[in-house]
Amino acid sequence: MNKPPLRAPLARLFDQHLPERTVHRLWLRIGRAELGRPREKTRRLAWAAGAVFCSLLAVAMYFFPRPGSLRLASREKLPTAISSHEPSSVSFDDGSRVELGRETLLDVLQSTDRAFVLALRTGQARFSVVPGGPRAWRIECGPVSVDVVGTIFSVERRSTVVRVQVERGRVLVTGQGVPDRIARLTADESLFVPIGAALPNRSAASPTSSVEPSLNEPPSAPQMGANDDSRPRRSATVARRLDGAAPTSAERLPSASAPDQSAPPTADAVDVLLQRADMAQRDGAPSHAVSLLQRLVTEHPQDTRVPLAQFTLGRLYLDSLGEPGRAAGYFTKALAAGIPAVLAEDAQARLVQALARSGNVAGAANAAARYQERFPTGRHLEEVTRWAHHAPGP
Amino acid sequence: MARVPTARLPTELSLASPALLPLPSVEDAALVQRAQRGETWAREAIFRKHVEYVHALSLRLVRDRSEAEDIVQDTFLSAFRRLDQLHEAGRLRGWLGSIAVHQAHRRFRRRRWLRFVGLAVAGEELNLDELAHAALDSDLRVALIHVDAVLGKLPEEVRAAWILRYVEGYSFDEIRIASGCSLATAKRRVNRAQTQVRERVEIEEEVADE
Repeated sequence: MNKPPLRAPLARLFDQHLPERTVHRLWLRIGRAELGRPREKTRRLAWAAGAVFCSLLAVAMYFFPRPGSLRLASREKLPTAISSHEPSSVSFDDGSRVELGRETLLDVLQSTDRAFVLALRTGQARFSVVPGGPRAWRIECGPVSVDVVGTIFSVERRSTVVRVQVERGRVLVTGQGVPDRIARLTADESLFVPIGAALPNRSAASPTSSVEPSLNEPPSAPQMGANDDSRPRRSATVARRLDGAAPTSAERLPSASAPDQSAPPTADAVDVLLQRADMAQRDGAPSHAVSLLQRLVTEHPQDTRVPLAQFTLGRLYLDSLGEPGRAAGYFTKALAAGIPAVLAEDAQARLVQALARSGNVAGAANAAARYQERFPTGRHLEEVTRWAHHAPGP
Repeated sequence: MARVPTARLPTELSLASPALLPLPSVEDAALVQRAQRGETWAREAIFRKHVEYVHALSLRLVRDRSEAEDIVQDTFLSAFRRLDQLHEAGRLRGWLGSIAVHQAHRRFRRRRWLRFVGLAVAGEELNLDELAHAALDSDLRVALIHVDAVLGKLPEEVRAAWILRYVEGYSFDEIRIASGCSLATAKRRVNRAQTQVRERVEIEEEVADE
């Protein structure tokens, strides 16, 4: 091929003339662009602000991710089941916490950004749910469902009964064994619902209300469900139960009398007394409640619910009637009679408080030492120590 | 720096009367100095003095009239904003050229990205011979057609490097600075294009090199 010659630079070969019209148009474009263009400093600031915002957003999304499924506090994924042979606890990434008792099995049924559903298969668990969280918690336990948004409560499943006890906040308990299928429990209230019972007969349900049937069973650890003694309480352990079912052998009294003629033949006299005492407390008649409970203790000394009644008597004398000396006596009796473990810590702490208020400093110190020995990491350790060393007086 | 002929320069100049200013006769240094003081007429004078060069350079690099005009606009906008960074006012033309080359490379990158995502729109693709003088000798025009045929098959950055070297007469170092690449890359691009051009066209190189 015959190669044509070229000599660099080739710019001289090109026409670079621009018509005046084009030049003028380009100059106007530059003027308009300069006017419409943000100042360089402003633009840089805008970019910097945008970059900072994006960085903060990224950091926020990393540390505060959009609520997805609940995770463990270690940010690990939740297992499908949580079980424990010994008392243990599980913390979640939203700050909530579950304390498991012995031989407890919790199935995780659902965990989304809106709902967290657990099934308590066996044992007992204390739930501390952070209020205001994005998820509604639900605990399924045999015949009952416990719905909660933020509160502290415990659920215990035994062979014959499910116990729901609220320490703080409010829960909704639903299920066939629940009076009217739904009950609202507030702080210091508890509810016992039988397992495997026939559907409650509404017409017969009300008179057969009973209390604390589960106390016949050996209490299981850990100690939970007791209340914060610094708060006034109405009914920490007096529970309500409405069921049409016949009481189990464990629930039946050996020699129940029938003080209330309206009760059906299956009614438990002790249950009735306890319920009437509960109602008296609700009605603001602690003296009447005391007389009913004393009657229970006197007439049914062998009943396994007597320690519970004694404990309640102690609380009434201490909190409502201002007789710490008598209260101390009932707390002592309740402890000696083998109050369930779930209430033992509370009873021991209350004993210290009652003795201190009655002026029995030495007794309070001894009771405090006993508390520290039995519950070295107890919830009331600080208060107990304070009561023992600084008697609050009557 | 050249002395500013203050007495000969008007303090205000209307856009409507560009011909009043004998632009070639005014030193770049004097215009830059006035423009740095914020005198609008000096900016316009700079624009009018160099717009044809910047436009022609841009057009040869991007081969698209619309994009070339965009480059002209962005080049002068950028230059006026950064005029205080120009320490050697006598090198204004080269400085404007390097800004234009930089702007062209930005468009190459944008085109490549649009092609990658499948959003590229086929624009004007002018040939070198179309940009040549109308009265150019036919042999030279044919040579340019050969050159264009070779360059058309090369990546835009490689083509641009060759144009800077053999059309604009840039040194390798100037190509490096304007293209924002290393000296080795600049040489490699130019040589890659030139190897293929040489097979079709003989070019006598008069470019002064380092």
